[in-house]
Amino acid sequence: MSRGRAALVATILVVAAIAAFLVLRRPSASPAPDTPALRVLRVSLPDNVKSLDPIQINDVLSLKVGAQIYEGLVDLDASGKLRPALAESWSTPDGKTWVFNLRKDATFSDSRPVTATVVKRSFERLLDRKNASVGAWIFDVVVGAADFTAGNAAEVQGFVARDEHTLEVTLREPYAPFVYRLLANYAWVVPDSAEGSGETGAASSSGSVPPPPLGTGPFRLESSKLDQELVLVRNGRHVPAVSGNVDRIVFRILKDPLMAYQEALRGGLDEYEVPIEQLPQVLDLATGRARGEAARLGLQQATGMSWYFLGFHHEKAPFGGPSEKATLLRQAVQLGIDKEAITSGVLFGGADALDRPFPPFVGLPNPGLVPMKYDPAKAAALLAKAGFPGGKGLPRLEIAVLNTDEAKAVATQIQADLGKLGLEVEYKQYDFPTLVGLVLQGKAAAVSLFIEALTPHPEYVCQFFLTGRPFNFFKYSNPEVDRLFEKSRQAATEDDRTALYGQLESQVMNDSPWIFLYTKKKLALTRPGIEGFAWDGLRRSRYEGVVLP
Amino acid sequence: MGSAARAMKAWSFPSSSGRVTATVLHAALHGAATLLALSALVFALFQILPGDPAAAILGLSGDPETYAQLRTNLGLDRPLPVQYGLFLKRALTGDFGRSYAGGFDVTAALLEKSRVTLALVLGALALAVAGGVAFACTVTLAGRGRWPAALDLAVAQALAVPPFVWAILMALGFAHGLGWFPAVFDGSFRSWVLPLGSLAWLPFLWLSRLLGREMARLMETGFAKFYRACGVPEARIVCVHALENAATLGVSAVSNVALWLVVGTFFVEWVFSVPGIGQLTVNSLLRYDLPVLQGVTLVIGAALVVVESVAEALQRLLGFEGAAR
Repeated sequence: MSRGRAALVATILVVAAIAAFLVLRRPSASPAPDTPALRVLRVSLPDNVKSLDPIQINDVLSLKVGAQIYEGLVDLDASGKLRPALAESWSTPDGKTWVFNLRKDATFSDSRPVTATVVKRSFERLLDRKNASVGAWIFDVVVGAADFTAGNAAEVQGFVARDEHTLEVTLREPYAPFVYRLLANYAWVVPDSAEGSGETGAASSSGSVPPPPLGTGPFRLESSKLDQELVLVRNGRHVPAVSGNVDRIVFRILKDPLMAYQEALRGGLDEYEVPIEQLPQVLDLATGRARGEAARLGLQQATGMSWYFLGFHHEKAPFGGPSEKATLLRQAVQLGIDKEAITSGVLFGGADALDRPFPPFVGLPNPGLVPMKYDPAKAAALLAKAGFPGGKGLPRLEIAVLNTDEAKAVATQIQADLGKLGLEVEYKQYDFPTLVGLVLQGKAAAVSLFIEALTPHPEYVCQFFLTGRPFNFFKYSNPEVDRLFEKSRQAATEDDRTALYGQLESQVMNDSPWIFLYTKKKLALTRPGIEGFAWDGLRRSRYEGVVLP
Repeated sequence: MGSAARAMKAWSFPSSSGRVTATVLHAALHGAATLLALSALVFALFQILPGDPAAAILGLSGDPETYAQLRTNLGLDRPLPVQYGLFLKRALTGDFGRSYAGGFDVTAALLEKSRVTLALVLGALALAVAGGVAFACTVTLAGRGRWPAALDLAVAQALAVPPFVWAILMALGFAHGLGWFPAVFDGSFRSWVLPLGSLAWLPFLWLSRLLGREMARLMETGFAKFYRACGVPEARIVCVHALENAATLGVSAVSNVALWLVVGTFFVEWVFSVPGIGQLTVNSLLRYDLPVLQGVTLVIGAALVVVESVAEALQRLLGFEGAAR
């Protein structure tokens, strides 16, 4: 009897499980993404976006999606030139007062108009302390910004709506490159939702409710499913009208790179950004072309804005600080690491080696600069000059790195190169939040990390080397660098500024506060027959010009 | 009447119905205590992690004031007992708050993702059990009451390959090689095939071997001879009588299989991009997303408590029956 019962239980179990599966399974297949009437562009995303609120976006994936939904006052074309976006023109008589003339026909995707007051409110939202945005610094030069952030003023005095379509921004002092700061995603314009913005900071320990993503960009968000997909549809209200023929963008979230790559080969993706570890399969280093199975697909390449470095904390001896000894040591390390070997060997050609502080994406001409290329003999000489011939007498150098295979491979190469000079190097791996904590609290003497650059302007890159700036997380300080920057800020002409940035760069090169390692390239496989893929000047994919067959 | 009463008695626990209520109550209290301890443990472990959620969100570009403000917004500046108390208070009303990293409502996400994962686990359970029974019967019949040694070896080899390797092999073979099924989950019926198949595969092999070996053992004993002597056809002896006996063993193993499936769903969801609890868990760990982490831990914990209780109840039921005979 018990045997019969056991079989009965097993049968019931199977039947119940099948029934439960059928009930729990999503009721029907989600509408097939390629409905014939609509032209669908399928793009891979290796993870969920963290946020689609412009003032909270600080990761590349959110930026990739956000760039389709939002616009700022200005934009940067692929050649690095400013171009109008929501502002059709702008002018400044003295670098202190800036007048932006807004497009009169611009509306949000829900048809609300974009006015100067809306832009002012949008910018104030960024500065509101309650919203805890890391981007508030972009307006630190605006009159009254600090007061507003501190809660001492109801509005920002420096943002004035002169009329419905004219926004006047007043700065505390002349700041010639100010307009470039408006390229940052933090300055993307969102509609005024006064009733909502008050809520965002209301401290429930449950975190804040993000506002619905709504912008003026060429596409708008239709739906999003965590861990599955984000669907964008063409914003019919975008001005000027979208030039490509994409009706809908489906960002497919595919976390396993092997599966995503196979999906791209199968034709299930129109754009697939290739992660570094897949490059050996995809890229032929000698020709710079796609290889193997990937050769069937198109390959798009661009220099990227991910900037990798090894930084020394300047309050920690013996490598940190302004002393001559410390500077010689850092120069020795700068010259002693074979960065080309890192980019071609460890990173399979997916990165550009750096021999100067300002990365290629800045594109700064600097004829006066002497780049520091790999030179182990000179490095050894500098080490001896610093009083540590062959590394004798130096304590072991401990480097904190990320817990990725890539960071490990790079650290191993650094370890080997410096080992040849007699330097004993050890690296420790940490997860991202922990490593960031170590940097911000100044607990690690040497850290290898990266920055996703916000804009390619030298003014932005300088922020990392100026005394007391929040991005100068290694506490580097050189009064000469600060002085050159102040001068550049007020310089009358573009050429003067370029020359001053050049001098500043040379100074930073000499001090070598960081070891400049490499910038990662952007590499994407695209489905053949699709035209018009483009990266803009900020290396963001732009799909409004894409033409599907 | 008499047989009905006997049947009732057979299906219930030894004494009165009060005893049953007490047992259920005991199980529920035990489960609640386990979940409470689990949530306290997750909270405590989270505090000693070296990183913190505000740093995870802000990255390198956060200045100290922004950092402090974000900690206030997230409620991280309050004393730890207050934080935990608030969490419990809200959790009791079914509110797990909002994700630190994605801003989404945790309870809603848990409900949606649980459905997917539950469908995956139950579907795979059905496949594994049904497939295992069918395979064991077929092999025993075809092998004339033997479980071939070669097959045993092959199964042992297959079980030694980790589940995620199987998942990737199946994806490469059936999706990319043969192109029969999509490797990327999109909710359609066809896209369930590979996740279900690769999740059920190892439990299926394991159950087949368990049942097959036991049935083969039974077929060698006097048990089979008795039925053969009675003129019962071989197929009936194997598929009904031997299976019935072997099933006792199988049912007590089902809890093992269920645990296996819950763990396996992590890889399978990752490989086939199935938006379930497993993916949610991995995300929350990588991003120091405490509200989500608490939510998924409690959901998985609750699932395991239920599986364990059901398995225990089943075993007691069968065990009691066995003892009474």
